[in-house]
Amino acid sequence: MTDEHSDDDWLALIAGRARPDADAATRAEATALRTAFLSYRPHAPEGQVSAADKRLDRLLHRGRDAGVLSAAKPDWRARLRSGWQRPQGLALAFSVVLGAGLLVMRPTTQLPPPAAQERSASASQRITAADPARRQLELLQALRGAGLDAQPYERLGRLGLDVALPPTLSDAQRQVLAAQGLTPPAGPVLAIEILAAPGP
Amino acid sequence: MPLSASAFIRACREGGQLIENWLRRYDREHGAALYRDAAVALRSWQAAEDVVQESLIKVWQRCATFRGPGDPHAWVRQIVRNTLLDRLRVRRPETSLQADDGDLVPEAAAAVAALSLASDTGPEAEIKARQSEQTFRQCFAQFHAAHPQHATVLRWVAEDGLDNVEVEQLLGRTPGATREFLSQCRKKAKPFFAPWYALVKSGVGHD
Repeated sequence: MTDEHSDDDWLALIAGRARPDADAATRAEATALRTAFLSYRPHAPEGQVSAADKRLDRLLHRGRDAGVLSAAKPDWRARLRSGWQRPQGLALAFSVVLGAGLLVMRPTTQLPPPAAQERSASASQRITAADPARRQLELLQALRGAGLDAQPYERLGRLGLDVALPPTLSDAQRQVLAAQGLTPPAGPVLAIEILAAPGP
Repeated sequence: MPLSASAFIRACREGGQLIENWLRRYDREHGAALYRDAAVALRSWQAAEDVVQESLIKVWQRCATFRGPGDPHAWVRQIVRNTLLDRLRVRRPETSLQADDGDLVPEAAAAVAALSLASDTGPEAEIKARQSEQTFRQCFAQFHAAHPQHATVLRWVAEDGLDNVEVEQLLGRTPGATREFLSQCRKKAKPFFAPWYALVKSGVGHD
């Protein structure tokens, strides 16, 4: 019997598969080893894995960094409960309404071109537009037209799109993303937030 | 959310919250076993957590390549083990216990011989069984310290009944290279387990 066959028999016997033609020495050695492996499983090192909630937090954070998960949603309830933040929140809301009002009142014949303000490898990318609703619709049509699974959303008055990306983007899809000022992330999900452009 | 293949594929397609829900449930149902398996191989809970989490991210980056219809757990576990082996591959034992020809270096051989002598002195079956366990654990620990990748794969073969094809997928090697790796497992394991072979069955493992 060749060494190669003997090794195959040895491995099969350790794995628990029958090898009736194995030689006696190989059989005895492998069977004893298998019994020991199953009886005396190695002890884990001292200590233990982190608590479930902590390790899950870390995992989800890593998932967001890698672009696998959408960015965490802001906890608006906690923000509202926090008294000192309320004036800031109201001021922000007021600014947004004021900015939007000014934009509506401004006589424009042409929508300004979208400008990507932040691009990164992470899943969440922000773009600004004078008319976020219109920009959202344009994006939706462009991305769906390229065969991408884009879903519009509105969170806390902020518009955006969640896009599920295929594992490999076609050239046409890359071109459409680039034309929209978007960078393909490493992961399968692209979250786009559309911010209102500041007033003139 | 169940962990079925259809739920996995749906989460892969729709992403976002579905992936997050899946990860939470997967951690609850399989996390303990995965983290433990990795901790045994890496001898560190912190490193184990890092490897398992890196693997779970990979799972979702590659989710579209999952081919059901079975439970995706086996597929996920293979990715975890792949990552684990990659991590072990770059690790080097602090001190080599073997010379270039595969034999134990003199210090290690002396330690093994002492262990073997100590193990042979138990007259009663119960004592012998305890010695067998203790000796096996020490032999495996030394084997693992010197050849972590080979020791880990050998343990998985015994515990999960892996065949050549499954080992081939784990290692990401050709059938020929996998066969060579497994042959090396046997060759490398032999000197480390020699005292234990001697204890459990006279003649086993000796040429």
